[in-house]
Amino acid sequence: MSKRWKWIAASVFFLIVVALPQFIQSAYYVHLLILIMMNAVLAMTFILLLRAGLLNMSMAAFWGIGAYSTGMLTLKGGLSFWVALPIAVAIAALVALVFGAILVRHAGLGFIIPSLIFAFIVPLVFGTFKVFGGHVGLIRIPAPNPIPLPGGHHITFASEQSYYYLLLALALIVVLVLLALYRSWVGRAWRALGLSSNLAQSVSISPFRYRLLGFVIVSAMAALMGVFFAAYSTNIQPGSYGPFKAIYIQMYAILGGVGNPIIGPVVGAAILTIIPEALRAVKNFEPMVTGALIILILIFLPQGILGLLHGRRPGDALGFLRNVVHGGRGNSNKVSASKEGVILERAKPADRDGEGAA
Amino acid sequence: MSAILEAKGLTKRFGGVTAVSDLDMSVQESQIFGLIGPNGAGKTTVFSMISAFQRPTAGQVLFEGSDVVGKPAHAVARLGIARLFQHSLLFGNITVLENVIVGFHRKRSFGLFSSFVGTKRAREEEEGFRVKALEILDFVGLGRLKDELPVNLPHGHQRLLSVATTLATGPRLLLLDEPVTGMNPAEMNEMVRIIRKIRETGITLMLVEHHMRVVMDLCDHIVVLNYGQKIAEGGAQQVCTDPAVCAAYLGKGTYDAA
Repeated sequence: MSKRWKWIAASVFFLIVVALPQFIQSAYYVHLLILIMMNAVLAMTFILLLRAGLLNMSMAAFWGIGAYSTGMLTLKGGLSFWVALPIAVAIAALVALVFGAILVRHAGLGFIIPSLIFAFIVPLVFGTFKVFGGHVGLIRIPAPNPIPLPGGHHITFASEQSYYYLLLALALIVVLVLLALYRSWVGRAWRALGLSSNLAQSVSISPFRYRLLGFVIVSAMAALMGVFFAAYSTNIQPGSYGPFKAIYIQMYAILGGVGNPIIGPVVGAAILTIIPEALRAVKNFEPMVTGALIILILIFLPQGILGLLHGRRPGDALGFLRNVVHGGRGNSNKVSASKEGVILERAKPADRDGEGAA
Repeated sequence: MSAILEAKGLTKRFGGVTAVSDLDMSVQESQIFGLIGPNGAGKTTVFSMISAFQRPTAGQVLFEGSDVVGKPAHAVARLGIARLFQHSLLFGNITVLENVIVGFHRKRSFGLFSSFVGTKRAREEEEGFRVKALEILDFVGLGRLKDELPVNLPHGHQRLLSVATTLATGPRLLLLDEPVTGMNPAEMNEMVRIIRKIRETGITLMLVEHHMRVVMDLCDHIVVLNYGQKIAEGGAQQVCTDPAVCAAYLGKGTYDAA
């Protein structure tokens, strides 16, 4: 697709997204759209770090940190939503900076497992301590204050529609920031690290610095979604932010196609938000169906659903995952990670015995 | 001539195996320096230690007088040591041109914010990188393949692309790990020609290679390693006729038995 067509397609899509709630009467369907949009943004943040060579399982936890910070600041601190928003995002960024400084020193499983543990611990902390409301969570989080408009009108936050537009504004900011980042040399450094961290280092890209930067940025973005979710759902429970959500976020990304960092998550989140809703009648079977779907996608459509649109284009999930699990040490193609460095050097001296060398 | 790189007492042990033991060597400026030896002699390990991907067990590596030991690999790259990896290590999923542009990472002069909002000067610098990347691609003869994906290139071209990426970092010292291994004769001649061209631009080169004709053709100075120890050093002719080198490559026992 040429650049011009991309712009046209993006504008049309945006107009549809803006106009959509006007044509939907049912609050339930608007609610679904809100969930889809929020999940899509969470999946976008997952893809950013995946492209930088880190499989991040902690997105749901930071989403929760954003939500709980908002709940605490508005309920216990008495602050308005609009004041709580930047503070909550800053709290999440700070937590990400501290934990990231420890976590991103390692790639591969050395990162995946600690980030998963983090995803387990955060909801446990929320559920255990009385300050955070224990397993009941925080209830009756106030709605954002009305925004005064010139002429005496106010934008009030009561209907599903109004929250839809609030989320749309936040999501738009995230998407624009992501697009700008991907185009900048930071985005290039991330991609280089994801494709081969050794080669990236040899062109003087510091894995630690760039991955930490990415970790802080995506954590802040996930927290921003949490801030919105706290005000939107008014009640938050620790269980919503657990590792299950982390796995779902990953699935939204993979289902849509990790080669498409913006549209892929939208497609993936749309499908995987609607399916569980449609399967509500048989709730216990829902994870089975979703799980089977993901396995089938990985086997038959490793580039995700969007991979169908543009034949053979790089960005297949299996390749990404394989590379990420190996710590991005190898080439993202056929050259295996073990061929480089230590392992080969160790194996060599033993290899040549018996060749008449003394 | 002055030494651009010096190794003093360089040693690397992996558990009980000593991969490199007490190696002293000095690479002169704008030299082509060869490092040869049978498989497992420790050549790649030496390269890994120079480029700081592995930390020596003991010893020093002085690059232009400053010790690189203990520095992270990306910082050493910033000093001006670039490395061509043994196995075509490329950014396989981005175009040939973008591969080279990644190499300009340390040359950028704009902060995150300027690049982020795309200020005019940041965009101009970016455009400058594209132009320079194309020049480098032309230099190694890959100009017309700039929009290809590296995965689709033949082996010889992939190696040349790796060279182009390392050149983009503006190195003072270029480490080439087996640049011609696995190439057909035509590709090999092309690579040798490019290596000579690189030297003419004033870049010092270190070469690990098994192909002896190429080594003897190119190198001004050769160090021979065997089991991690330096067994000979000197010009091509001198090294060729050294009995210790012959023994290492062909085996002493063979002669005795015959």
